[in-house]
Amino acid sequence: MNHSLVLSEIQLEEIRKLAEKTRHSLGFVGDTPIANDIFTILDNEGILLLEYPIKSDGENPAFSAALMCSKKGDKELAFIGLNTADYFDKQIFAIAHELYHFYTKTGSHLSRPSEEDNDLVEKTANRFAAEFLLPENTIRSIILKEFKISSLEKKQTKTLLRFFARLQCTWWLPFRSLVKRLKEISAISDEQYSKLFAINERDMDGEYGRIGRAINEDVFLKLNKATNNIGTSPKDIEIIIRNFEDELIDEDKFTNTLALFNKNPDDFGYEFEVSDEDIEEFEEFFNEEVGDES
Amino acid sequence: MKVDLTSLNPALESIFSNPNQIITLDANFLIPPDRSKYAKISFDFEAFKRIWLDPIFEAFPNLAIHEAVYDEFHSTSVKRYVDTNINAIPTKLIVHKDSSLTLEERMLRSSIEEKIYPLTKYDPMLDNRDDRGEVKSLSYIAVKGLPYFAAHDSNAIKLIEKAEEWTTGLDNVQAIQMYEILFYLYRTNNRDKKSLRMLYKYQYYLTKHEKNTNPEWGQFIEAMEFLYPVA
Repeated sequence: MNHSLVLSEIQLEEIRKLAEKTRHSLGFVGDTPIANDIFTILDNEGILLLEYPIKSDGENPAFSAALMCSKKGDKELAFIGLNTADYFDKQIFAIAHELYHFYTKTGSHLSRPSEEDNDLVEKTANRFAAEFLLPENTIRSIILKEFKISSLEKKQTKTLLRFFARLQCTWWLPFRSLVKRLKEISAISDEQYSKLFAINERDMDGEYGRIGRAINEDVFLKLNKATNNIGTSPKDIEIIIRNFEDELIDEDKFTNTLALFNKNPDDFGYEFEVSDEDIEEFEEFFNEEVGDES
Repeated sequence: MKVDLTSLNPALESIFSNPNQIITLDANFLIPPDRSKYAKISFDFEAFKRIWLDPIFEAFPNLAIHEAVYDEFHSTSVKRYVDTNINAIPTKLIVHKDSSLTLEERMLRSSIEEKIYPLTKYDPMLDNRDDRGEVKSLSYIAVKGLPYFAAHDSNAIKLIEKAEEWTTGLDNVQAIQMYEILFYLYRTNNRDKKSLRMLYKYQYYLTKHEKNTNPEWGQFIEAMEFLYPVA
């Protein structure tokens, strides 16, 4: 991210207010982490989630997430396409980022990490995501409660790493977002920021990786893995099934659409196999046809 | 696809009394069905021609397609067969052309297309192939007051059946399904009933699911004869 673009105090205050209002309206009051509930939020907001792993040639994924909104008559449709080739904590952050575009109606949007620099809207969306997942007031109060002081500048790196690992396993933000978060509220110095940012947080055998695994192995490993999921929410699968049941799509379209999400009609009790007896009957029939022609 | 034997289709009844009316066909009425994904075997063109294409062209002298449907024929055999019928003198297959529409008709056609396309995969801005044939055909026949559209496509049929609910502007168009024409051929053409049964089985009574939802050939004929007793 390009640091030349700095959000003003007024802009930051607006983001905080929006994040707080949104969290509140969704029932996340005070120090309640959103974490995995972000997927329930999508369901409740009627946003269709399509998960697909799109790997890129380089180190970073081709894109993180994409929001598509369309309006037909008085009906609005919103989809979030999520690249599951990315780490799970980054997927959660990417969804929170897209929720900013959804709530602020900043339109259909494709989030490409490399294109975000110098883009005020993208920077705002990222800040919203961080604030939405872990509000500034909450992080300040956690620091104060734990260290009895608002600045961690005098704390050694090991202490900070343990703190970050605990924060990460509770709030499900990427390590680097947490580092940035603490820098944004001036809890850590520029030097600490650079040092922490240089850590390979995805190395599970590195110092941070070992600390994280020791604190909460299941959650820590989950957050640091690309899920590579192919799927959509059960609600969306239900729409596909209903479309078939209501004869809006035929067997072929039903089968092909479910196959996109690694599912098949059989999973839902629709059996499309043909008996051997019938296949033989058709083979015989077509052979007779060929015989008649010759 | 589901076989509905719960009520009489006035379109089929009308066709029985006057088969000379114009019936506009969707591409899937002219392309051999391929359900090899389930049956491991696809319908050979020559067999389809003998069982289905030749009999329908014989039974209905005023079959038609829209020019957009013509673009959907990729197989040489189908294209050759369609061309032969179009070029026959007199023609055996009418081609509806948008260029034949008057200015007023074109405006009306566009307004109907506007209503239909969001319910399909076709997008006029992209002019993509998906569902293009059915959107263009339906818009054209609705403007021209041609009442019959024969299709083996659940979405196309729903656009007609739900015309009022979905306000598609297709209120005066009536759908004719492949199984209805199969019954027509059964009643009017005594040549090869086994072949008609095989085509019915391939299209409607093939998978385990279809066997649970659709009637087998004997029950189908019995129910259709009950619905169309004097046909």
